[in-house]
Amino acid sequence: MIPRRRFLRQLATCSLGWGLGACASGRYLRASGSGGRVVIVGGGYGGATAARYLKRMNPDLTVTLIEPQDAYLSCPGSNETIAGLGDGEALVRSYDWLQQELDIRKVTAKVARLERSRRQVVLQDGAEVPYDRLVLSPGIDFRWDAIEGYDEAASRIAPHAWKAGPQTALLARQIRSMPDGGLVLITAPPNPYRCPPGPYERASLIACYLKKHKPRSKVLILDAKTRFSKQPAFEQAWRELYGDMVEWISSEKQGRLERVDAAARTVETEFDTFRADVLNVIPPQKAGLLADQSGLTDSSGWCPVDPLSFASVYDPAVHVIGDACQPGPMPKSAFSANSQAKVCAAAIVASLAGEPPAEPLLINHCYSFVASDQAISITGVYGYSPDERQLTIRSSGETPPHGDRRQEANHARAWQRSFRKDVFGY
Amino acid sequence: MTQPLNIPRDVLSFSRAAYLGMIVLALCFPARAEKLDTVLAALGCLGCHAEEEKQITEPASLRRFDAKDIASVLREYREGKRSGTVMNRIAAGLTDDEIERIAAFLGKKP
Repeated sequence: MIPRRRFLRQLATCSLGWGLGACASGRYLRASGSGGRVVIVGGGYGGATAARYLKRMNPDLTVTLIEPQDAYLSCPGSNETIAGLGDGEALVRSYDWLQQELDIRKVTAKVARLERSRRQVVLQDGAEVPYDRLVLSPGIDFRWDAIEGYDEAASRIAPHAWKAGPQTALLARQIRSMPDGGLVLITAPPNPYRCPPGPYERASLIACYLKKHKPRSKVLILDAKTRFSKQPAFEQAWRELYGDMVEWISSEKQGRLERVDAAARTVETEFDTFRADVLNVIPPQKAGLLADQSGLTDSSGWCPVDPLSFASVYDPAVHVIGDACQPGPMPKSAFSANSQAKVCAAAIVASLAGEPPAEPLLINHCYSFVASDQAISITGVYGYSPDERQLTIRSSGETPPHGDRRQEANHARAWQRSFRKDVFGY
Repeated sequence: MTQPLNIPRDVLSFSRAAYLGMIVLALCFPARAEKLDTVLAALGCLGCHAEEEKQITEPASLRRFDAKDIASVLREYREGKRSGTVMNRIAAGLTDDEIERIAAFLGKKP
């Protein structure tokens, strides 16, 4: 009997240059580097997966997860709660299992700054956490200066609800209390941003709620783009399920989003002014603030990484995974973050053992609900191109306009459960 | 947390053990070292297919199935001989070699 995790560890640490003897004996597992210190900042799907898989591939590592929240609230599934569907409690995951079963240290604190030259993470109370390798999974932050009139204060009136939590609850309350015959206005951001199909799933699920409770109402999406993820399948579903209740307006028609007045719930574009009963502004985005402040972003606002290891191109000891990084064609999703975290963990284990990383093969798969019992999806498989030194799309596909949406909804629910278990252990 | 990986001591299971051994060797041997990427891909599968054998709801745990059966189903998905909602899209991105290895990694252990 070999515990599977040791098998994985052997897989992760065997590569070029290891002869049969080394692999078979396993003695090298306790050789140099096996007891490295890896610190992870950010306990979402990316960071928590990295923590779990680092320990799984090399239990001798000291793994510390720094995250200010006691528990994690899942973004996937949060649109359902806005529409009064699903069980909000089921979206919460604690870090207990990772701490108790895997001996991962959880530090509940905010990071003040990184001191990369000394390889220290400095917490807000001044305490320092040293690292051999650092994994940043800071998610997104908003470009508060991108839309005139829309800043953090305005988001407390006209929520973005693009980070699960109080903002999600605020939008849900506003939908609940709007009048029948009212207008829900969603502004969708330019690429790239977290969860490309998210705004359109949200529009679908809000329409699902309105159709039942406030059937004279309307959902309008003002888009900064001219097309969007899974568009044919979304538009087919809207026609079938909601008639003309959901309307999408391309930036070709309306031009730029010029101004938001959150208090008046009005939005001005180049050509028109819209007044809404519920205003959901999803602003343009960039990598999480810590990545930005630590000099790990480029002019795009995202973090360039080496897709073999997800190491920052600016610092080989710091890896960036999840929404904050920009590894070629992968979309920003929880599934991408999970897939990247596993590649990153294997590369760190190899690197601490003095080995090169393996060539990665990554998967992204995203479900979007279009009604309480119907979903559509998009999938991509990504390989590594040594010539271009970046990820390339091996295959991709999405639900056809007349696909089996009920079956996909069953899969989507099962995926949510399996996925959370893969990351948080339960 | 993890399924133990049984290394059989009984000769009847020798062929499977040898097969698994070959995979481990292939992963360790310099010439095949790049095949580690398939393990990483298989780990990607675990986002949907739970590792616990108990899970029988879709998407099912694959631990109950023989590797060769998983491999042939993956090839059917890839060639369009079997239709799924999602798996056709994923299988389209995999080589024969990767399919074999991913199946061996995810399937029933001898």
